Formats: sequence, C-alpha cells, structure tokens
Amino acid sequence: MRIGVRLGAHGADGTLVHADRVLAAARRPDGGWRGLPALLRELSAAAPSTVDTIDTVVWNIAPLIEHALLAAGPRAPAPPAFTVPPAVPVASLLVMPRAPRALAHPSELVRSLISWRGVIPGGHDLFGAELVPVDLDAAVRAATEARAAGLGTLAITATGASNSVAHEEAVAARVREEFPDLRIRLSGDSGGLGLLERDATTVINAALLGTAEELVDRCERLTAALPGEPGCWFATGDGGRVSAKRLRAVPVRCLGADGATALTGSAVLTRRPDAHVVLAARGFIALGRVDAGRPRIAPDLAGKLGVRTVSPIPVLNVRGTAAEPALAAELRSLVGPSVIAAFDREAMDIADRLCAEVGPALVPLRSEANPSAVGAACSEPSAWLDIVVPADTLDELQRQQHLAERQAMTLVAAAGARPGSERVISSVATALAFLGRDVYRLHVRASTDSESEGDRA
Amino acid sequence: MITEITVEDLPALETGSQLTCSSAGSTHFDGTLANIAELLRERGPVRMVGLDELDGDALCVAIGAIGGFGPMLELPPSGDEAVSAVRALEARLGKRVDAIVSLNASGPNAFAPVAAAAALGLPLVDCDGMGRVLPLMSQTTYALAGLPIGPLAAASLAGDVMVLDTSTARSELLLRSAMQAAGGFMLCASYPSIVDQLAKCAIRGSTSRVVEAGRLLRGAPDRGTLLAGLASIAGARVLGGGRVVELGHATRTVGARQYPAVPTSVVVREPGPDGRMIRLEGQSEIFLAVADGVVSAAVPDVLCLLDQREPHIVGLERVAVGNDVDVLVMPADPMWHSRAGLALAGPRAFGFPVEHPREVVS
Repeated sequence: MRIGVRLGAHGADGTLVHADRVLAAARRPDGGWRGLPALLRELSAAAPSTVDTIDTVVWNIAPLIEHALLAAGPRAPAPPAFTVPPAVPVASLLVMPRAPRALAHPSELVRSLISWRGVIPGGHDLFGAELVPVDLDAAVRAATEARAAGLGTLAITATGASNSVAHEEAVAARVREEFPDLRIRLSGDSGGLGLLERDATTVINAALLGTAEELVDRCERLTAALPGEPGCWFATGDGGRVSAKRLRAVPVRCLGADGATALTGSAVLTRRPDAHVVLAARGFIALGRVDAGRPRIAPDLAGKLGVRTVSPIPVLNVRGTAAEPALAAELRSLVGPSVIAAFDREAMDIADRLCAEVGPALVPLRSEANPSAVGAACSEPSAWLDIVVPADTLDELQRQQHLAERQAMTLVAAAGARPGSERVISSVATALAFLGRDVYRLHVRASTDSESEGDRA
Repeated sequence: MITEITVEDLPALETGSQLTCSSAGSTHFDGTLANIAELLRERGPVRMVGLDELDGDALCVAIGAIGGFGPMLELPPSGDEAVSAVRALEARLGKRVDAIVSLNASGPNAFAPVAAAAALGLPLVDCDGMGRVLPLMSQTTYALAGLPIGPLAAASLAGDVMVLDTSTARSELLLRSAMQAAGGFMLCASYPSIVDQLAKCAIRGSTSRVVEAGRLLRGAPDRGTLLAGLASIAGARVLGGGRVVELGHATRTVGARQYPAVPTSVVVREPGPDGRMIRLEGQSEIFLAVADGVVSAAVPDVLCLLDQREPHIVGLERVAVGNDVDVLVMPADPMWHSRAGLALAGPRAFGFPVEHPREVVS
C-alpha cells in the first residue's frame, strides 16, 4: 500500500492507494506541518487489515518548491500553508569562448536567483573539440569575487558540456583547491542541449539545495513515524519519483510534478490510462495526455514558471477559460477518450458545460481523492537521460542508444526499484540538422513495471 | 510592408521564421534573441527597405548562417559575427557594403540579417534568396539567376574569420569543411551583388511575411483564423493531419556526402477508416509528402508540421511518435517552379526519383 501526499498553498491532500485503487482520502486545509502526522495516521488507520502495511509514501512538494523559488524574486507570492525556506541566490559562472552581449539570463526567475555572474574563457563544440583553452586563473578570480560577495554556492555552465564536461570539471577542481567549502554544481551533470537551458537548470537546482534539505528532512521524519518503515519518495516532473537522497541533490526535478501527478491521478481515478486529460481550475484550462498511465513529457518547456530547463515536465497546453468553446470543438475532434478534472467550483461549472457539449467521449472525474495525491502515490521510480552523441553509422547509433538505455535502467535500479522491474519507457534518437556530421540527441525515459509494490528508497 | 524591425518585433520574427523551417520548428533560440534584443536596444530599430528604394548600383551582401541549430543553443551568436564577416568581405572587394539582404529568411537565418543590419548600421532589404530552408548555400534564386556566391566571408562563433574566393561549387565544399572544423556553425556574408542584379531574382517581402506569420501564430484566437491567415500570407493549405506513428533517422550512406543534412522519415496516419498514411521524407527539412503512395507535395514547395493542439510548428528535431499534427504545404516562389529551379532544388536534386506535382500536371 502507498500513501500519496500533495503539499500545496491551501493545505495538504493525502490518499491511500493499493493496486491503483483509492482506499481512503484525507485533507488538512490548515495546521501546516503540525497537521500532517494526523493526516498520515488517518490514512494509515484506513488500511484494511487484509493488506500488507504501508510500504511507500510519495510526497508531491512541487508547489512548495515553486513557492520557494518565487519567494526569492521581486513578486513573492502569498505564504503557503507550510513554512518553506526560500531559495538562496547563487553565483553563476559561464565558461564560453567570449562574453555574450546579453550577460543576464533571459528568464526573470533565473535572474532573481543569481546574485553574481561572470564569464571566463573556455568551452567545447558539439563534436567535443576545444573552442578555446579554459582559463583556470580567471576561474579562481571569478570564484574569489563570488566569495567576496558572500555567496556559498557556485553554478558552472560551459559551452559544449552537453557532451564534454572537461572544462567544467577542470574549473571545479581548481576552484575547490582555493575554496574547499564552496558548494559547486556543474551543468554537465544534468545533461541536455542548450547553454541557457542547462544554466537555468543548474542555477535553480543550486538555489534550492537548502530548501530541499529542510523539506526532505521534514517529510522523512513524518514518513519514519509511520509503522513498517515505509520508503520516503518524492514525485518528479517526468511523472516518476525519486528517493529522498536523490531529491536532496536534484530538487529541480520537482518542477512540473504537480501537473504530472494530476495527469497520472486523473487517469487512475477514471481508469483511462490512455487519454487526453483536461485540468481545469479558476482562470485556466490545461490539456495534457497520458499514455499507458504516464504523462506525456518533454524537456525545454517553459512551464508555469516561464523558464526553460532541461528537466522534462508534462506537455500541457494551457489556455484561459475564454477558450472553452474552442476546447469543446477540439475535444470532439480528438481520437480516443478524454477526461476532465475540475479543481474548484468555477472549474466544475466548466466541466459540466464541456461534458454536456462533448458528450460521452468526455469523462468527468468525480472523486473525493485529490488527483495529484493519487498520481504521486501511483508514480514509479524513474530516470531521464538527454545526451548528445556523434554516430557515423547506424550500428554506432544503435550501440550508443543501447548504452544510454542501459544507463537509464541502471539509474532506475539505483533509485531503489525492485530488481528486474526496470524498463525503458521510450528511447528516441533525433538527428541534429545541418551539422555536416551525424550527431544525435538521445532521449531515454525509464521507469519500472507498475505494481512494483515493495520498493524501498 | 513593414518598414522597421524593433525589439518588440523579435518574438513575432522568431515565431514566424519557424513556418518555413521544418527542421528546427519551434526550437527556441532565447540566447540569440536576447543578444539581438540588446543590440537593437543599443543601436535602435533596423530600417527595412524594398529593393526599389535603393540605388541600382548599391552593393548588397546576403547574410545567413550555415550549420546546425545545436551550436547556436550551446554558444548563442552575439550579433557581431556579421561585422567581422562583412568587414573582411569589404576589404577583399575594396568597396563598402550599402545594404544587407537575407540569404533565406527562415529559421534562425531570419534574424541573423536583422542583427547584421543593426550591428553594421545598414538598412535591411526585405527579400531573400530561398523563401525556405535548403541544405546548400548555392540553392538560391540568386544562384538560379547566375549570381556568383563569392567572394564570400564567414565568421565562426569562436571568432575565426575566413574569406573564400572561388567558384560557387568549390565555395560550398570548402565552406562546409570549415564549418565542421569551426564547430558546426558559421555566419556568412555572400552573394555580393548590386540592387539591379538582385531585382531580377530576389524573393521580395520575405521578412515582412515572416513577421506577419509570426504575429498570426502568436495571436490567432482559434485554429480557423490561424489557417485562413496562413493561407492569405503564405498560400498555406492543410495536406492532411493525424498522429505521428513512425519516425526513421537513417545515418548517411558511406562515401561522398552531397548534403550536410540527415535523411529523416515521418509517417502520419490520418484518423478514421478512410484515413491516409502520409509519408514525409526529407534531409533535416521535409522535402516530400507521399499520401497512400501518391506524391502530394514536394520541394521546393515548403512542407511543415503544425501542432494540432497549439499554434506552433513541430520541428524534425522535436517531433515524436504520438504527436498530433497537420501537414501544411506552401507554394514556393514561382522562380523555383521553372525547369531550372526544379533542377536545382526539386525532388530529384535530393535523390528522390519522382517528379514534382507541377511537372506531372504540365
């Protein structure tokens, strides 16, 4: 049995799930962290004695993580029901052949998370060739400046680190010699194509380390108080989940988890694993999709925070409620079933109108359980790889793809999946155009067979 | 016609440029655009003129990049690359350049000439030489009219500058080798020509069309308005639509590589019992649409994939099995439908043993 908990601006929603069936749901609109032990006890007490104990608790803390990020910026949102330490601005060092004309990151959010930014010479091209030698003395000078500005974390992003991390690692090693206590994060660790996308990912991740530490600690303590030593997991933007240890290192993977769990939960609650899913709430309607119960995802999407990162998030077509008539026409034209989940009174009216207009092809979700909490409970350990590889022959491409798939499955296994349950969900090789050489971007998504009860973080 | 390009026009320019660039589609070049926006804030808007507004002997150069989109994502061009290239070309020619024209106002090559005009303080002529993306720099209406590609100059993202002075065919060959050695991208200043020469072969109004298409893609209230608008601006029509059910990425065959592009196949299945299978073949760009075995559209006409959910172009670097798309086709400029045009950039030029639908009709 699993418990899924969503911690949001307006309280906590929890659900007890077994074999994709909801056994109980509970809600604590107030009380903050203090109200959570009672919520978990209530769900735990609802477990039927005929079924084993609760072995997994999956937390969706994405709303709190997003709040922590926005709290660092000029337009801080209202405080949520839970105390959340804000993200802490970091230093950002770009390693490029020359300084860009626009040094500031295009995203307002990312800019708000950077207190010091510098550029030093270095970087590789997409084929792995060095563009200019890395200037390690300049790196030390930059780190000295960042340190003098009082910053404790340095995010390093180098041109070409998508397939050659040599310069990022050289800079990190040299800077560590001078400042052993400086926390350093490298963009190459997240993979992905695009200097700014990796930069945003690395900066957001670095800025969230303290926030994640505290949130994960709290969730671990709450989980440990339950009988049976259940594993403590966290929902991710790719529709999967990661261990507490992993989330402490890569809190950026939480981004998008709210949408991903809502899509998954809607599919579970309506028993339609392959469907278009409409998520409606006050002021907006979003259209997404689940395939085999998993949300459709992609990297480099701006998402609700308006910043492109290399971490995959659900593909959601978001529009205002004024688009309701166009959406009705669109839903009628879609092949296969559609599901609509409403999250407030206004959205329920929208759902009723759309169902009346579209007919039986649109299934309304009616459940006491919060779809996001259900989606969290039903998520599985996951991994996502986004790498760039040269391959001059089809055999070489297939070899590289096979290696990436093995690596992704190893990550899933290392995350605590039941041995033998890991499998590749999708593996796509996309040719990069007009390079004159065969270079491919590989996206591999891996997870486990569903119903892998018994996983341990 | 639009008479200037401002910072506020850049989002529409980017979105509109995707319509005729089926390879990149809606890949976002945030870093490049941030640099160009900074340039426009420093230097002010770019003045855009028609060919008829310039003296007949005014010297123009075509600005456009060769290479991939990936390098631009890893090292966004700063906008200064064109200054190095144009200055090097001016030194070789012994003349100052009077205006910038576009090599092809499609994909990122729609905004490279804007950056060049801003950085150099020159007017941008509202025209281009392809009306789309083609793999070779010599596949232009400029070349079709006999204009030589060189002398030309090229600048890499790392700051290397080279000048080439040879035949069009050898320029292409040498430039491509240099582009690879430079990391997969070079910004070129090519086809140095006077206005009287360009007047006979340039595709006019290209940049204006891109901005108009971009405004439409960003602001159309519904799908019907969008498709009607694209029909009006670019003659676009929906060839068919459905779900992407198959993707194929073949590596190139061993031996001489004719094109710096990768063969790609996409299969779209239309819904319903009578739905057709639309097979799209291309080399980084989509070049051929075959519906149930019949050639329905072919290069040099423009083919692209329009997302059925959101008003954006799905590029071949992004398309995935399961995407729901419409296949759009837009007619190329009439110059491309001539016998010589089809020989240079028709389906047979890319190794497809078929005739262009217009040849079949005629």
